[in-house]
Amino acid sequence: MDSRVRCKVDHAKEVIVTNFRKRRWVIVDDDDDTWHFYWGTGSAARNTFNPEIGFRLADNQFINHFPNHFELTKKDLMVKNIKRYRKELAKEGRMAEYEASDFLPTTYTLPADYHLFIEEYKRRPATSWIVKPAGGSLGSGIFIMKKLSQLRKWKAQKQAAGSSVKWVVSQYIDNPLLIGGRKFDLRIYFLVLSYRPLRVYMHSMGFARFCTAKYDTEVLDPEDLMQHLTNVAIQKHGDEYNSAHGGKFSLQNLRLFVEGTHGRAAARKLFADIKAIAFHAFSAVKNVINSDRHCFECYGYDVLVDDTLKPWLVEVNASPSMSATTQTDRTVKHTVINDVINMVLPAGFPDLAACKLGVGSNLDAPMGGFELVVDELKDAARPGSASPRPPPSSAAASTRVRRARARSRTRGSTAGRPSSAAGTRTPRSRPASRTSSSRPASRRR
Amino acid sequence: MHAMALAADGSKPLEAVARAREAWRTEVVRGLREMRAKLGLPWARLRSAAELAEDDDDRAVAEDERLVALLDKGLVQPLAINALFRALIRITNPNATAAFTRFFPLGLISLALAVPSRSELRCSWDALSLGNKCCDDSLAPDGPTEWEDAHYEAGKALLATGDVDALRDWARHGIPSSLRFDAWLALLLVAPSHDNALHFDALLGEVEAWDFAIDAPLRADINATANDEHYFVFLDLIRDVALAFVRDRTLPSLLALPGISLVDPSSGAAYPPCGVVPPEGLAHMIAPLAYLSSAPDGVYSVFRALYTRHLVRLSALASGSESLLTLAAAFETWLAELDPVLAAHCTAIGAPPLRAAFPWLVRGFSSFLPPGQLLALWDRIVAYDSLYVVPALAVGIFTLRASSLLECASPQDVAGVLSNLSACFSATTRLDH
Ligand SMILES: Nc1ncnc2c1ncn2[C@@H]1O[C@H](COP(=O)(O)OP(=O)(O)OP(=O)(O)O)[C@@H](O)[C@H]1O
Repeated sequence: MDSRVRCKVDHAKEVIVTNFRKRRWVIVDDDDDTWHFYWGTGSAARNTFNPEIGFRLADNQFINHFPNHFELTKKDLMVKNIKRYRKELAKEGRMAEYEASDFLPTTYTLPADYHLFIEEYKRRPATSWIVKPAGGSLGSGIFIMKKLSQLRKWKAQKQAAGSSVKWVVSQYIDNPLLIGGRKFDLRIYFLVLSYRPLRVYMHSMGFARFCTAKYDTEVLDPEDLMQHLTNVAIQKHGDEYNSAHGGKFSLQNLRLFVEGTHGRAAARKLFADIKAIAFHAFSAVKNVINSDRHCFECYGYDVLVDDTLKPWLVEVNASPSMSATTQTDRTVKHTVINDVINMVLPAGFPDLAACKLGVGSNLDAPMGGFELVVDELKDAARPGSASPRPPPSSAAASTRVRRARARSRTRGSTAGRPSSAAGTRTPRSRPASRTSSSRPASRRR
Repeated sequence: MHAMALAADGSKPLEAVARAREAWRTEVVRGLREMRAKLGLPWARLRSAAELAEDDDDRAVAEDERLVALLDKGLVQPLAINALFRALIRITNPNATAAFTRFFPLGLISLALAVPSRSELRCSWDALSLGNKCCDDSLAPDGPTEWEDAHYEAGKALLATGDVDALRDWARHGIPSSLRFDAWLALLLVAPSHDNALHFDALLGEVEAWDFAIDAPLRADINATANDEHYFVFLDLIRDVALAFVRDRTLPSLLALPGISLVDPSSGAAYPPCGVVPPEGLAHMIAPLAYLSSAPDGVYSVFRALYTRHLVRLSALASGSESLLTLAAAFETWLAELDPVLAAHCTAIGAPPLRAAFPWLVRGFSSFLPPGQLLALWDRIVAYDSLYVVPALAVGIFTLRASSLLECASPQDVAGVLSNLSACFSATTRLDH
């Protein structure tokens, strides 16, 4: 029999296929179950594990999803899980972690929490809200609202149409960090090799996605989605869309910019906070996910940074887009997939006996662009560490958070104020911009 | 004072150079006049009240449209890199000594120029190998090292004391991104003052009020940065700084080497007022500075100092130390010393090394290296107060890629091997010359 690796991919995405070809793997047909490595859609993975199909994975079969990843990647479930996790932290008195995990904009599920939302809405008249389908993507169906009448009208329409789809409504972050006057969000890749013990890595080749239209800081125009939604799917249709760079800017460049304009400590804190977001989000679902040793997952985190340099978690994608819009984009995605495959595969793959220990068992695997976020396996192995958590990064991050909060309080910002039990956040007035002033003298003082 | 000035006899303007420079000046001026004729506009025109009343965005759109129309008509770049290259290699010296020709028969610059030897320039090479520790750490997985933390703290303390000599010694080991703005201002001797902001605001007022014929090629240059993945977000800043730059009357007296400009015989005033026709690629030299500060006037102050002290030399045909001419000669000489086989091979297949390296030199590598690496290179220019690090890097790239280059059979092959330099910088900085 052919001893070569057999692999499968659902959508023949170029960057995935070229990775397979480079490894001289044989790509099998759609209905062929004799693969060793499967890069599929989320639902393909669910079917693979469907007990009714009665198909059991062999030791040398690996797939790019956990069966119930939607606990993290569906907007309403993510919110539910993180709220519960934070309640537990509070109950256990782990206040540093409780504060460090306050990165979700206040969110309610519709229609279930409609009345709770109305109460909150009335408490915070100055806040704008963004409404999204719970399972949606590519920016479809999203709208921004300031007046309740908009939501009532929308709700009536949905009811009339007999729609049973769930939606979420979130506090709209209306003070995003702007670069060149434009809003952006970050796409950052996190690889999970296992949930129990939790093993997470972050890839350095993330990027920022910019809006083509300038962000109006004076008045919020909810109709002009070009300045509010950073999805490439939306921005592509703008007049100003530039296909040379696709509005994408590397994470390295973002870091260079933040170091230059906000200083070294601020840049370090921002990136530590982003890692902490991933750590807490994964921790929040680690006990509900079926941590199967045939599975791994490369998540695309969508993170929004506000003008106090606080990162907010917008959404987690289980199947981050692997289609490439530019040459750089192609290089980035090709590299990420290559690094994922290296990290995931056991040494000796696809030999059956060599694969017994499962995903991520090759501890000498080259990390490529990945860096450690948390590895409870290693933490547990370290002498003298009885409890595997919290991981070093989060502990360090939370002290940094505390220090920075003390600092931000002195600047008159309320961003660091501990929030109410439900994890909500009070609307805050926009602090005077520290960087866009036209006086360099102020920066040098 | 330049740390690496040549011996006195080498820095005297040679006659051949003087002649070449005059011919080049004539060519640039002719180019300028042709450009203006095509535009059908006066050199400078005060905008009417009606124009000024228009919406900013509308005017920007109108100006872009006009520019596209001009580009369609074949708008000339008055100071194009290719023309500069031709002018450079046209310089011939009838008195070339036999010894010189024997020593270096293959270079494009057929002029016996005194170029500092590599051993004299030990520090240029050291500049490339030192201090890269703290410059490329942006996303270092393990975070900054103890050395980097200590280096950062030391820099911060020195900036507070204002001791420029000590700061320069420190900067030679690299400048952390977060101190770069302040360190460059200090090392370029820009006194932080409110006047800088007022000066820039006044220039922006002139940008608003005056339409310059020379803005057209400059806008083409600026628009090119809008397609650059590293700089597109900074387009407005780059535009403001570039357009303000050509209007800055205080520049001519600051230029380290005289630039080429038109002179109004009646008033003696220069056109453009900055005293130098902006070279092709000027916008890409401004762009990296957008990473230093988000205050446009701060970026302007740094650029103004950096350009007048250093970057102006990169497109200057002059025999003085550290002009384009000497930098190009240094590149050819050093490469021929280090790897004569490589230099001969490239020349033999019709791709003399200087042809590939020329755009790197003229632009000081801007647009050829990603911003983090480019700024780390320019750190060395500022810290060592010398441009020789630019040809040193160019030589480093050739020697780094030597094995691939030796397999090339055509100029196209060579261009292919040298098309992406982003992996070269860190590798070169680790070379032990
Ligand atoms: N709470 C918020 N505050 C401000 N902006 C937001 C908020 N939530 C979302 N956005 C903006 O809207 C965009 C779309 O949101 P989101 O990613 O949740 O939608 P989506 O349709 O699931 O997109 P995709 O799955 O393609 O990433 C985000 O990229 C972000 O720019």
